[in-house]
Amino acid sequence: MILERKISKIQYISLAVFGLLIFLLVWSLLTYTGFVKSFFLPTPTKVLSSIISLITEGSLLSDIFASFYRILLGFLLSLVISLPLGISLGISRRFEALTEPLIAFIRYIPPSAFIPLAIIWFGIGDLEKVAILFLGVAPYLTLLIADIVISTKRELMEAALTLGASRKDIITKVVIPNSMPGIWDSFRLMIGAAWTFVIIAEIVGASSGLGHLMIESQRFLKTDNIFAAIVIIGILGLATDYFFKITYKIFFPWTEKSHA
Amino acid sequence: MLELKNISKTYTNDHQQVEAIKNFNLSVKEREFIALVGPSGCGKTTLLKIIVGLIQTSSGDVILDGKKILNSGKDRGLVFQQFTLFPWLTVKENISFGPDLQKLDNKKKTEIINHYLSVTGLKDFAEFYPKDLSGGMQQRVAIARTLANNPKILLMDEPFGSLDSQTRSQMQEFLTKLWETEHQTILFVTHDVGEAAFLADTIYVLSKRPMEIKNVFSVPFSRPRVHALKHAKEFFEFENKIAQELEN
Repeated sequence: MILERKISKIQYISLAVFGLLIFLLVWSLLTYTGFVKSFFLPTPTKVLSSIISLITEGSLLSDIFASFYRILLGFLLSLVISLPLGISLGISRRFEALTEPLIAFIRYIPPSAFIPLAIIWFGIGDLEKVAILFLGVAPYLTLLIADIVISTKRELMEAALTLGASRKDIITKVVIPNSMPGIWDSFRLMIGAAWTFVIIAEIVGASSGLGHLMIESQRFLKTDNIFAAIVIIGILGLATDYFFKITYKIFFPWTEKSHA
Repeated sequence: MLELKNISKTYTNDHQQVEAIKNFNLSVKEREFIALVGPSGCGKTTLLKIIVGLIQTSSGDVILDGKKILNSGKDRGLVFQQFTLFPWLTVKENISFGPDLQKLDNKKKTEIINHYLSVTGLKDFAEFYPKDLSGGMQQRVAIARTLANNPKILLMDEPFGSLDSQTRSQMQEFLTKLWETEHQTILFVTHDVGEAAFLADTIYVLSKRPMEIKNVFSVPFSRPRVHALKHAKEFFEFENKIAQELEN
């Protein structure tokens, strides 16, 4: 944040808590007063007790595990493919010409469009979810990585050349280390998208997972359980985001951003 | 040791041809400190990039110790005007970049690193990242990084051009001291006449595009040179003489 003066950590946390409290206050005002019917919007306490009963009596923990497992698998698969692909795309014009149009084509198809096909091919188990995740994440991630690699400053590469670096050295000792923080940021971005895709896939057809929990709750008109699932997804999203923020600072202490 | 023979460089795009350098000849002797002074955009950077092998000539040869130069290599070190330290490496690791590529053994590497950390006054900053250094310090690291490769010739492309004037004159003094102890062959490019007069033994005044040598001056000041020299009457007169040559 260039424009704003610095604030202390305590100030930051108290403002964050304050923001959340306002949200809770509005929610409470709307529900405890009976202004909005509980069927449409349950009270905060009702949602909390739903979460607890879903954990103790229901399937919440195993649903969380199922969704998380799919994301991890789909994301790791995307990563394994996108990293070498994106870096090659960023380095070689020939490789770019060969693959870029196809990747861009897939990228513009919403991953949800692949769900019917994926169900025919893979059924409604983990494999189908991972396939949807991969189709949603990998093309974007590849192009993001390629973009970061391309933006490596020319002077850095020239400096390395004059210090006796070979073409291979330029890639391994300049382009890749220089691109890593940006690539890590793109992981953070795409893991958010991964949550979207897995929930969609689970809503359309699944026997477990948070998306499945929501669509089942809707069938039985259990609005409070839907909200419970939404809150859980929000918390898990926050946690993953935080994970990437913290690791960024640990891995890349040399960037300007690591101090923010 | 370094010979430039009839170097020409023409840039071509769809619409026109631009002659940046035309029949340029220059000979640099061992341990000489040469400054090339020319107006901005006259092709000085292009010339240095040709010497280090980042740009190909249209015609003409660069000859180093009797051998024709075709590619970039560690025998010619270049210090850039822009800050080009590798931001993910510490000061020490930046200096070690060249020795690492050469796969020198650790003992030798440590020796080289420590030597250049101390001659550039960066001992206390060895573990710092570039982002935590001032501009002047970053350029000192860049110089140390280039020297650690033990190049036959050190090429400098307005290395102090983006520094404030106070840091700039500190860096000039630092460089003369460094040259007086290390005796590197240096080809220094600048558009600042005072800088050239303070640093070099020989000054070549260059013309606008296409770049040619207008005149050569031998710098009459004895070494070691200190900052006070810049306030001397003779220095002022000499500087004026070159400035006039540059302008007409």
